[in-house]
Amino acid sequence: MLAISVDDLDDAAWAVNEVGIPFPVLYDPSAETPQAYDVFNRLGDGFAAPATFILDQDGVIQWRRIGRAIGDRPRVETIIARLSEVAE
Amino acid sequence: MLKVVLAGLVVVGVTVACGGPDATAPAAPTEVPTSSAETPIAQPTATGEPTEVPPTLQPTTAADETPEAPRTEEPTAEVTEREPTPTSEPTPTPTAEPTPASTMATPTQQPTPTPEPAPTITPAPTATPEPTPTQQPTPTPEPTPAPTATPAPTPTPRPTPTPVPTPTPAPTRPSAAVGSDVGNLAPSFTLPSATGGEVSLESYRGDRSLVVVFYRGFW
Repeated sequence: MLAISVDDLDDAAWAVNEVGIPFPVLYDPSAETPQAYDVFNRLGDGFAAPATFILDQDGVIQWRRIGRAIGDRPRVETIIARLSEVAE
Repeated sequence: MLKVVLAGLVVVGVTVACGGPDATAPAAPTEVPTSSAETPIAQPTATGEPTEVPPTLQPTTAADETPEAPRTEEPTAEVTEREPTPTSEPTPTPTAEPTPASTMATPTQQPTPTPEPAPTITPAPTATPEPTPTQQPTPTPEPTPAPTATPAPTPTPRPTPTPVPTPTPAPTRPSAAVGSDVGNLAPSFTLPSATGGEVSLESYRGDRSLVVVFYRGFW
């Protein structure tokens, strides 16, 4: 799992340290990556919309969910279920 | 005097006659062994052939000649072997085979039917003469098989190159276009990590499924 934020390094480090995220947290202040995934400024606030992409081992997008609000994120159970489908 | 001399000659003749029967008596036993020797000869044909069949003996000139002579009648197995070795075979086979085969075959066949009780005694004498011919061929053919073996391997490697069909259809990677929709190849990236270093998407490719999450601010 990879988490990408448009935050700067300090904010990304804070999230890792305070929340205890066990997976890599990447930061991209230039927002090039959110733009490539077409999730940048979807909410009109100059940030990446909350979005989740599931890629198979070949790097092909098998499932995605782009939030329509700041707190619009898929449930963990949903992500795990989709991952199981992709793995099969 | 002449009578005395004649009497002496008669005595000598009597002694000779007495000695004669003794000499004739051993002669009879000698005939018995000959008959027994003949029966073994028939056996050698059977025993000698199997041993000779596996190795290509015909290439060997001298050794093959002796065993082959009794088997002129059984041609099939030998013929197959002869064909591979062309040069040496023709000269030895005709000369050696006719002489021993004709001489040995005639005596052996005649006695075999008549003396049935002899078989118990026969094995001993027969065994001695037969092994000598069989042993002689075995050592000599060994060197010759080597050349025959060399041609055999040459044909075997030929099949190996033939199964060279191009098994290089490995490129199973999706030729999907890069994009953000389902079915697209996810855009690659290399970004700095909050814990140091950089992480690229390609480093996860081919390993397992991956979840990429874009988050904002505070979780």
